[in-house]
Amino acid sequence: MASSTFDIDGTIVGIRTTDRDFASWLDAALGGYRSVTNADPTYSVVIGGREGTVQGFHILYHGTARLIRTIDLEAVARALIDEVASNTLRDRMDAVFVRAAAVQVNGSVALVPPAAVTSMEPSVRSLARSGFRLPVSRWVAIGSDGSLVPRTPLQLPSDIFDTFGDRNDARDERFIPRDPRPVDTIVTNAPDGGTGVGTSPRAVALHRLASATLNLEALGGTALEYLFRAVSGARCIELDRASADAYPTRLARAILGLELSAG
Amino acid sequence: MPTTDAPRRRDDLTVAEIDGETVIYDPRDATVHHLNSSATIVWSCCDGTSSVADIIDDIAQAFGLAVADIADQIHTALSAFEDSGLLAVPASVDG
Repeated sequence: MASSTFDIDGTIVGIRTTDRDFASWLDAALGGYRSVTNADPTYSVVIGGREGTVQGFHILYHGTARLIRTIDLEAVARALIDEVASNTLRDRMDAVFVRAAAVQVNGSVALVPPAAVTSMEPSVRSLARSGFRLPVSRWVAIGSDGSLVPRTPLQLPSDIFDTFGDRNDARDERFIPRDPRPVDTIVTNAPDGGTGVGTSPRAVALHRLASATLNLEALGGTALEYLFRAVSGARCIELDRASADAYPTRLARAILGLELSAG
Repeated sequence: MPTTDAPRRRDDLTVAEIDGETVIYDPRDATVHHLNSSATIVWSCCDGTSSVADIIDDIAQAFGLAVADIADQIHTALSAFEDSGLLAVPASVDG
């Protein structure tokens, strides 16, 4: 077990991992943020393939909440970095940062509530076989024209994720935005008691996204303008919290426009 | 709200109207509000020159409804705007 503490723009973040090699990678990745203090772990990374782990799965926890469980070492590393980076987003002005997950289904990109992705994590590989890409990140960046834009808020060595090439014997197909692109669909949870899939008023989607914006106070009304552009060009749907088994299929069908009833 | 008051939207709000509904960002407390289509109609009337009584009359006339049927709803919407701090200090319209 190895622990490190980092100062991320004034937020002290402790990270514990079960694997010394991963700890070394972490020090290389976040060396510029190393803190001399020792904090209790905010995040824990369990690296699979060792005694006491299950089937070689790598798991990232925030406190006791499991964020990602994957056999892809790079995916868990990216998820950790993005989680740590979320501590820097509140004061940023270069995009609207929203607590949402960007999933891709056969090339179509949708923003969904992060909790929905967590519930789909166990099925990531089978979902990938049907053209479904889950993200590693639980936040997205929306640019001034309403597009989903790539952002790497932390200063990292440029090749830091390449180092997993040799160790990573299994890869998940994950959706990581590399270029700006429009948001095709915005998915919100149906109100309590709602059932099935339906179109959602775009104002409801805009309200949900704005309410989940991390740097809302910093950007003020500008955030609403960026999100307005994203919502204006997107299909907005609401989906009830179906069982974990049924949710991915219904989500995929809804994103692809195969299962929409009147809202 | 007295029927002689002329409710007025605050000037410092950021307002986005989409598909007949409204989303409002309030910089005072960094909150976001959603108004459905009915509330949006009332909101659009809060220009600081029309009294509450005028607003009720105007909406009743525009939609062919009886004043008695919609007055309570409009008062409720205006109270919600007021409670949420979305209105400027109301001016009173004489007469």
